Amino acid sequence: MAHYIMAIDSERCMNCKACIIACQQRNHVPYGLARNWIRETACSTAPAGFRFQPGTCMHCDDPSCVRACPTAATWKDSDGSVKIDVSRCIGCGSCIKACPYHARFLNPQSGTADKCDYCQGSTPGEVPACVAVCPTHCRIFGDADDPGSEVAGVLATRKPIHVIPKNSGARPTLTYLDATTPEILPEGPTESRPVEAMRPMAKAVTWIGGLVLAALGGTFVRQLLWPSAREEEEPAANAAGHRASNRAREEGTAEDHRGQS
Amino acid sequence: MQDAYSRRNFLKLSAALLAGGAAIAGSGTRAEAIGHVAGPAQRVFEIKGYCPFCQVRCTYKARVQGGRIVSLTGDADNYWTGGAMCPKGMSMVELVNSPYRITEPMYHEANGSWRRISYREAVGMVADRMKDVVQRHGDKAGNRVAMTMPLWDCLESEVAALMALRTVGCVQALPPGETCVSTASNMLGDMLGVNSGTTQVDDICNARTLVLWGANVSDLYPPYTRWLAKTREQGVKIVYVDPRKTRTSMWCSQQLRPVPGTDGMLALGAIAYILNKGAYNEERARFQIEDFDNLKPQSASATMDKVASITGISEEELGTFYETLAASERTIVWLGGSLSRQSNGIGTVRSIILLQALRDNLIGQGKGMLTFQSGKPGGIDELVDHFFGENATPKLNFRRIRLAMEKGRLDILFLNSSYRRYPDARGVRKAIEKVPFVVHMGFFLDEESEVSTLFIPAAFGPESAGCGYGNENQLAWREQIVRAPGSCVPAWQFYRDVGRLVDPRRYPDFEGPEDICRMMQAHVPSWKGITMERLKASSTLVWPIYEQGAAERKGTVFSEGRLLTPSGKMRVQDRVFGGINRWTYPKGHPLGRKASKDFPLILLQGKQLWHWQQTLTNFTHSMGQFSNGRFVQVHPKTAAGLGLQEGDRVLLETAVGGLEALVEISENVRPDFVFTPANCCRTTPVRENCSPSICDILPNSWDRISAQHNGTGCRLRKI
Ligand code: SF4
Repeated sequence: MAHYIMAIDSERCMNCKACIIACQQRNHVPYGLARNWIRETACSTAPAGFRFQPGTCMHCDDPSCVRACPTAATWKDSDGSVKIDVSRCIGCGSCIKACPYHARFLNPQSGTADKCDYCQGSTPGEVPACVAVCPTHCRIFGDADDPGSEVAGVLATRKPIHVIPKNSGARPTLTYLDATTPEILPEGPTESRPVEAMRPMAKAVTWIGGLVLAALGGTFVRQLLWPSAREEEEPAANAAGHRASNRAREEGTAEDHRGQS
Repeated sequence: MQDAYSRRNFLKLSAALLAGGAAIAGSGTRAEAIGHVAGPAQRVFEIKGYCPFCQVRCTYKARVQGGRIVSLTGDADNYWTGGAMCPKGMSMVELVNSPYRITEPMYHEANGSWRRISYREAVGMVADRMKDVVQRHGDKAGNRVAMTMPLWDCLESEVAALMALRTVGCVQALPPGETCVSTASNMLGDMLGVNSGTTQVDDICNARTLVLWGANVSDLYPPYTRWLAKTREQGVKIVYVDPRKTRTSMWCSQQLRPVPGTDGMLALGAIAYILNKGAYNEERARFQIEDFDNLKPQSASATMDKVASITGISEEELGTFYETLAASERTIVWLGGSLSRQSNGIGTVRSIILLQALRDNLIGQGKGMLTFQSGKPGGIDELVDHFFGENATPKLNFRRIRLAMEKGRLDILFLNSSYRRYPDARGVRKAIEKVPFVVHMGFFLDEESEVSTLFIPAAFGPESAGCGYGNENQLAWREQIVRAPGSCVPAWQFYRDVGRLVDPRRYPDFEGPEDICRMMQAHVPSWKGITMERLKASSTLVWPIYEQGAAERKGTVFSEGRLLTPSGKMRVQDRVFGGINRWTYPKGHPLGRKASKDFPLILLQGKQLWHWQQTLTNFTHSMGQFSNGRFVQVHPKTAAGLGLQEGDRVLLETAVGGLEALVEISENVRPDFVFTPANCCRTTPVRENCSPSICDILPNSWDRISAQHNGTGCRLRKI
């Protein structure tokens, strides 16, 4: 039996968030919620001003979420992953509260707990979506017991780092390679994990619930095409007056060149 | 009763929905997955496609279930991407099923309301207008019609559209890159004989030094970061020239952060340094530079102290950079688009190309120039000419077309994509409003629909087959993945149907992109080896291939050991563009000669990783979840001076207008400039992506080739 582990070379992460949307699509996670994340730590000496740390369910050994589940809907599988049987999950939220990494959330569509399952539920046997799309190959996934696998190779040759929330006693299997920031997470609840929390300036922006808009949009566009009554008319919107500036003076060349857009 | 709606209705609905959304989201309990969830019994198919956005042109495998795309995964067989994709590309899953999409043709009544019409009616209406223009203007009709590109779905759509224009003698199809890479493209063409990159991205691993000259690779072409990473691992020195710290900074051993708009002086200084040091092979330099003797006098004034004072880079840092250039045996320079977006871009790009020639860094492996948004397989014009005869009419640039519109001399405008890419977008809009018949092929009720007479609902790429092309001159074939909803049609179909009605005698007969592709293979020599079978079997295929079965051509274009200009050389003193010795700041730059003291900060705008231009991605929630609408990045010192705090609302103003923005305080910008994203649009229902276009407040400044987007003066006022 395989023993799955995800290793992450977080120094290569540039926070493009391809992993997040790839996971949302593959696993039908509502936009705005996410099974994986990228933690940003401001750092003036880092080349891009931040250190980035991608993460997801740590697939811990002896996981606290499993201990917290009243219906045994979640368990540590012999392949190394922590699994959820949604047919047994009653959506009580105990596991969500018990996870010190905030890797779990209540999926509003299914009403059950949700988290990373290495894409085994959606696309069994395939490379997890986050691993497949990463432009810098910073997530490495595979069977750690297979000496020929890439993951076994990096685990054998590079310094493993396990990021642990203080005093949580967690035993994560997700392994960072050589260096990562932060190495220790604060005690108690860390930041929550909606995608909103991963946006720069998240605190400054009023989140206005675009997701709901999408749900209603179908009706909205039908309205545009088949409204019940003709609205009072208004002239086509005119742009606010602009001040004429440099008028076109020189004759330019418009040689076609090799640009698409 | 006629189907109709008004813009007010649209706004009211938007407002109502936004309010409802806010209330519900506030409770934190509701959210919907936008992707399609099919029943478990439905089989999953994997079909290859490619992303329509940037020129990396990532190929992907679409998982299709129940006739809908459920997810995309990058194509691991793609040599250029290695299977990576960026978030933008994946937003296609949402776009094809977008609830905001308009799927029926509509006619814009004079009173502002829309009337739904049939596709046949719409095509007939366009054809009648085209015939009418010919009737009234005879052989002058061609210049009364114009089209803005790109067309979103495939290369064949472009062919079909260009042929439709030719039915009335028109060649005025405006390349989108005119406002992003045109200066670089034209100067490369002029000086090297090839108007795109001279080598391919994988060649950077063969260089000793890679200079990313304003080339923010990781934000613009995220999957190409793998090439940067590989290059670094192989010990290639990467120097990044960009005033802003970005994701690309992560891969570099040195970053120079010049005052925006002063790159030209940086390049001139490098030429002067190398000449003074004698760090060049004169015979090789003369082999490539016709008037080599002009180089010294024209760069002599760029002394180290002068360059340092203009660029704001210390002499020590300059020394390190110049020494790297002087010592490197093989250097590739990757030109960023921003250099083309400043009105001193011509001189800047010319200096950089001359610098490469001086050091003999153009011809050979691990040498050359790379660009963004280049790589367009040739042959399209050849095919069009095959059917419509050689074209003798000069192509006009957008400035001339705008003038024609303002003077009422344009009768039909095919408005594909966005007019808001041009600076002084409000002025552009006014000009467009003077065109009596504007056809917008698009997806949403956006700014373009507002100014159009006719809305034709377009198909997204996955809804039609066809070829895409990318930065490496590579082609990728895509089968139709899903059916287009309603009356949405691919652009090739619309333009074919119009073309056939206007000139059934000349407009060629084809059923779809595959037929056009076969025509290319039959009539264009450089396509002969690009057979359908080979295209379909390959992840990507690099154009040109002159013979069936021949290998793809990779690496430098100078395979004959000389430049591709007629003389095999370039000039320092150009007959049209002059020399490189007249360096000035970009127009309206706060440090320029005629600068206004009222606008002391330099304005820079640019792409954000998860957005493409001002159009499609702005209409997606999947990208909205990462966005902050219109923000300005401000250095802590600037913020302190203006009393601004993170999250403050400010008015970002230039000499021609202002717009609201949120303040983000960051040391990634310098104290003398502010940065704001290029993507936002005013009409999107997704609040996080919503703001008037940045081009609304850019003055209408051009150099002799392209429009200026960066470097103008601005100010911030707290509101
Ligand atoms: S936008 Fe460019 S990098 Fe992103 S998926 Fe599309 S082609 Fe690839």
